[in-house]
Amino acid sequence: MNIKKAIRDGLSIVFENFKMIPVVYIANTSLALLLALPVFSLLNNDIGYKGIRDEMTSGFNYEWWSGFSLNAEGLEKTIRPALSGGFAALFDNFELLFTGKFTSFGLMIFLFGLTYIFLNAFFNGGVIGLYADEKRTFSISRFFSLSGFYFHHFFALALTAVLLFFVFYKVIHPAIFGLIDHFSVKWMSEKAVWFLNLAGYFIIGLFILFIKIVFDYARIILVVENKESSWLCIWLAFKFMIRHILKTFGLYLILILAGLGLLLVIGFIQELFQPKTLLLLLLLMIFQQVFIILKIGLRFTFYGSQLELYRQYKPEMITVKKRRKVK
Amino acid sequence: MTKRILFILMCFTISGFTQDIPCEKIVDYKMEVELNPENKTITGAQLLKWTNFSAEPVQEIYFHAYLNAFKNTQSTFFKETFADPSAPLYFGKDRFVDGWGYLKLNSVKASISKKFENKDLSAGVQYIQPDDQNINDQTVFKVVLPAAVDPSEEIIFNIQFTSKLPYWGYRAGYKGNFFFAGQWFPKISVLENGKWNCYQYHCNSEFYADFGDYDVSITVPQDFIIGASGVLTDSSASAGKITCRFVQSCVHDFAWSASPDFQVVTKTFQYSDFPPVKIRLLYFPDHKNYVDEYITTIETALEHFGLWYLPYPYPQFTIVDVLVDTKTGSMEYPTMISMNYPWNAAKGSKEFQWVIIHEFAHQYWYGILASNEFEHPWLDEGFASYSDIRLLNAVFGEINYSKEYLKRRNFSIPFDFNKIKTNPAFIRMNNFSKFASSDKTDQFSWNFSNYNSYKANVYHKGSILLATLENYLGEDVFSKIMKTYATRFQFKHPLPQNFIDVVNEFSPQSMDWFFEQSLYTAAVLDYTVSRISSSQVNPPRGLDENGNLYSGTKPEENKTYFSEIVVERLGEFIIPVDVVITFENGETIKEVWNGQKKWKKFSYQSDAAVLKAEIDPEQKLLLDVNYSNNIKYRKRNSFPAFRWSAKWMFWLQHLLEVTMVFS
Ligand SMILES: [Zn+2]
Repeated sequence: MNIKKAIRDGLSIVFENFKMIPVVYIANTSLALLLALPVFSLLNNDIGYKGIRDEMTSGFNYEWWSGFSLNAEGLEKTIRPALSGGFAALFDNFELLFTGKFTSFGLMIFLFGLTYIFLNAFFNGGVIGLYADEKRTFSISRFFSLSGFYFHHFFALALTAVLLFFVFYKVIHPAIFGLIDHFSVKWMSEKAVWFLNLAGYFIIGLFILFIKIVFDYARIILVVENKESSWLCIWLAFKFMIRHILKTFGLYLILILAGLGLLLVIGFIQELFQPKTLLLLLLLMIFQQVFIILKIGLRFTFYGSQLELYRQYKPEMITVKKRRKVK
Repeated sequence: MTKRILFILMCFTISGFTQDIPCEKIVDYKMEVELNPENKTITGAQLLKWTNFSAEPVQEIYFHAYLNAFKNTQSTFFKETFADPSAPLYFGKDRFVDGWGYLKLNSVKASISKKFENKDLSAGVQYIQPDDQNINDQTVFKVVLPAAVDPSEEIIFNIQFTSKLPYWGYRAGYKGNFFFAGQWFPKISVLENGKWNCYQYHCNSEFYADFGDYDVSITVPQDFIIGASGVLTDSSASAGKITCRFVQSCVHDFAWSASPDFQVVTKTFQYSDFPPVKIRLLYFPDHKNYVDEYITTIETALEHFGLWYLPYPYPQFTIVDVLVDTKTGSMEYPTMISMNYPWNAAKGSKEFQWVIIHEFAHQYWYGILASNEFEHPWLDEGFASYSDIRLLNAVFGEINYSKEYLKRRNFSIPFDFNKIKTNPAFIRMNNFSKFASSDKTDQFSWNFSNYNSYKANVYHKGSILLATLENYLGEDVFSKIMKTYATRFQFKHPLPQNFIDVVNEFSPQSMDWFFEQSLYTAAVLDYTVSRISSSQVNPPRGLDENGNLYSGTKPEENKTYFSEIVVERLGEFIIPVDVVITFENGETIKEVWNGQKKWKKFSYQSDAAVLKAEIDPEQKLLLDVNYSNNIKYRKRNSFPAFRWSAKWMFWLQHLLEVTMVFS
């Protein structure tokens, strides 16, 4: 019951404050556009006059690409067959989480990812700050002033999370697969080794989820409990998560399922929809942008629901008691 | 002594199996060996009868002892492997724990009738390094005889040896209770023009040997199942062991594999008046899903290659489906292949069929024609690669692009891109293009600049130069060429010139110019449309003959365009090529450019502007390293770029949101 209520309440605060979604969406799109423009120009120069453009209008010319990719540098390396499918490019992104090869799309993409992480450390202050506020009245200026207010704490939390994940991918990740290889080196069954590796990836996924949940609650506790120490909040969040492990994980998994549902929808739309005209392409782009907006909305639902779940266990903290003096 | 001679005589009369195969038999091996699964060793005796078919007496006999390539990191094989970053690492450092491989000669004796009998020559065995003077390499040895083997005379060797299989070795090795024995016994070299054609075991090289008869009895624990070259003629069990005898005539090597885990399937292939072939498949239970595909693919290959080249002449063909995480690899042996393929690989890429067909194609170029792979590796690998793309195209159709997600050792989740299709020839073409100028194709296999260039210029260029030739001469002519070459040179170890001669026999003009460029230079073939323009021709202005101003028509009324197309040869490879110019009114003009000059300009005056120019519109010249620059439009169309950058942007937007896991 708790989870259901948390999601319901979470959704309602997301709706009440829906205007902050466009702010984050604009940040996302601007960053992406900044790199999409050079990609457009390099593609336009390469295939704009070429015969293969006919095939690139309706499908993907593998032969051109495999020649192109041989000497590809920088952003050129990110132009690949996976972009043609409905799901493949999205799988590529999730694959990064499991392999930790974050620079595989080049340094530029890596830096943009990092930028987005810290940019959102800023926005998240506004989002959670407003969600935790009993008045819940959204205004852009309030959003930005709350973002600014919490920034040094949220930045510290984001930095800690990134460093922790760095250690995770450098130490724990290889250790898990090192153990798997050690145990399975003499196994004769190829399938058994395969499933053991799959289990390895599953454990990796659990680890990521674990760290992610702790940091989500750390931010919530920081705002709700009005704490000064981000480190203390991580500790409190950890304790909270462990004490209510079924609820915290359960809530997260349900929301992940919702995310997968969204992914399936956009994946199938992209799979079925191979636009050959500008009009159809624009239509597909609208679908894609709606997906990104929903994805951001869903992320905020995570924050809202987790906040509500936390509140359920801390009834005395219906709202932030001692609201800091914020304009 | 007499008893022994009698035994030897008995051994050298193989009856039955394929005596009608027309090969010149120079060697005759009789081996009795036993596998010791505990020690990972094969111990045994070899009786080898060798005939000196040369015109000169021979006093030194050269042998290969290839398993010594895995004796230590000082071998030429390892030195070359470690020196080449592009070479596949055949031995993971962390895995190669308890097993180097070697071939130990316990005793070497020989007899020549009336000269010496069963003389112990062990003391005269000397390891030599004909290729690189690496004194630590022991993959070749010579035996000095007390008296020469005269022309037409026979010598019989009696060699006792122990072969230690390496752990996870390349082409030979073991893991658990799986054993694979390739290049595992002392093997005599080839005497050519009075000299030994004998090379060490290299990182990038395959093999060369004389034809003859092999009769090998293998003893293994009773629960083991053996797959081997040749035909199983009889087996007998005693004291918990089983001995299986495999016999084959007119082959030039012998390999085998054993494991108690093997499952066996057999089927007899029959087609038209071809001799029947028993297909024997040994597979691990994890690969049960491939059984039907194995059999049908081999049947398809037997049929088509039989029609295209010559019917497979041996009574049996064996497939050993090996453990994937060993380095046994997919490899050809006479009448047998090993197949290394993961249980869950992508289907749409048809790589499974591709590899089987490739390895089976070696039965012709490596097995039956048996060119020297050290000196002319493309005559085997290039022809096998050409044969695989020809059969894939003829029967299996286009292949999908596929990708492996979360790939790591022994794991991947394959994903087929059903909408991205390509021709296997294009894959070979692209893999070749990056190394097009690195090396010429016809050269010794270990002289290539690195493994990638060896692969690109031997396998890929070898195949697409044949495919280019096929397109150039036409399918009918080329089919005759291939069939004639295969039948005329079966069991003859042909050289490149033999093939070129057959080509010239059927081609309307000499093709020497083609081979000079494609085989003996690293000349790159790359044509491009470098300029394409149209401009409206304005009516004349000024004074006419009568001193009056031209009245003329208005430009809009009678439009005439002047169009220019410049085609350019970017590489050094010269070959005639079609150029097709299409105008905006749909008209086309076809030109032929001989490619001799660096560039050529075509000019036209017509009532429509030019739309596009295409060089080699049918893509006949597969050797062209960059086909995408062959077709050029006059006007730009930005839609495809917009379409793909929109997809790209969405991917990045999603990626940015995925990074929120870390915030
Ligand atoms: Zn091959």
